[in-house]
Amino acid sequence: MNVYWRMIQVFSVLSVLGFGGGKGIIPQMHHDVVEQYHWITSSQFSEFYTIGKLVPGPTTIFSALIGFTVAGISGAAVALAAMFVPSSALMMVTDKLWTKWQNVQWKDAIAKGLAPVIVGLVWSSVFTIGRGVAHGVGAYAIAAAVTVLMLRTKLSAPALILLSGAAGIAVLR
Amino acid sequence: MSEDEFMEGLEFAQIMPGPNILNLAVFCGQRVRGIPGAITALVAVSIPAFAIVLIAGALYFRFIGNPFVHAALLGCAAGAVGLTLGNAIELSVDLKKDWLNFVLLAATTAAVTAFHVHLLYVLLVFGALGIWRHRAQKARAQ
Repeated sequence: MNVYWRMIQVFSVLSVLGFGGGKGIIPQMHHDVVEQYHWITSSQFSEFYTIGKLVPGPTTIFSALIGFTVAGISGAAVALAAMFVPSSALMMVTDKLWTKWQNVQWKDAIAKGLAPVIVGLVWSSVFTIGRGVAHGVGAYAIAAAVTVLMLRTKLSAPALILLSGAAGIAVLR
Repeated sequence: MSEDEFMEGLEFAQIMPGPNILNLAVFCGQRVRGIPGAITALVAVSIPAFAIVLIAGALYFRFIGNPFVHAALLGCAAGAVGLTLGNAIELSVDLKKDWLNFVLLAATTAAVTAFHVHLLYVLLVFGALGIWRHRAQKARAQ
């Protein structure tokens, strides 16, 4: 199959399964693009995810970087469209059809009922991203420091990542 | 659009799959100008994000060979792991009211990380279980 179609297939499925703002799709995405299709390496996956967290906008924008590696700018456009269009289309259709959306019970049940599963997927993402990064005292110290700073201060995600970059130059070179 | 309609959209955007900001933009576009409005919103959110990430990608491939840039990126990636871990901890604390949440959480993490179960099945089985449990608890409380 043509690589463009393959990308559309992979990212569209992830798009409509992206509950919780897309936080939960990282492990499956890694499985598909690294282990199954070998489009990028595990370290590239972690680095692209990092860039996705650094730039403004949704993190899942980093699907474009995967597409870029596979097939240049057109690959990036296809990967991004496959990531953003299906979930948006689902949003449009649901808003049109589901007039009973006012049903508070269901809203609550989906939001609260899915929460533990989404959080479980975020924990899995920690292991997924962790596989592709530098290992050793320096890298662990940076990760631990960021975790503490994130929980204890109001520093933003991009600020913490930039700080980690400066720390990386100091200790990981 | 009224304040109430916007808040409804925000809730809706958070529940549906996909990035929250994108979903909310699509919702607003659709309520204001129908499907063409929704498509306009989708494009308007995507284009700047696409441009920025492309520039980042171009810089990545141009400078990844430089030892300073490489070290900085290794640091950034380690930071991203820390950030995701912080996120996981923060979200887990929100679930502490009910210990059964942690059973479902641990089962999900194990299924995905140790057994590589596809996300679709994880959502179908554990997701449905979570939603069913929440409904059952609500029914009992009434």
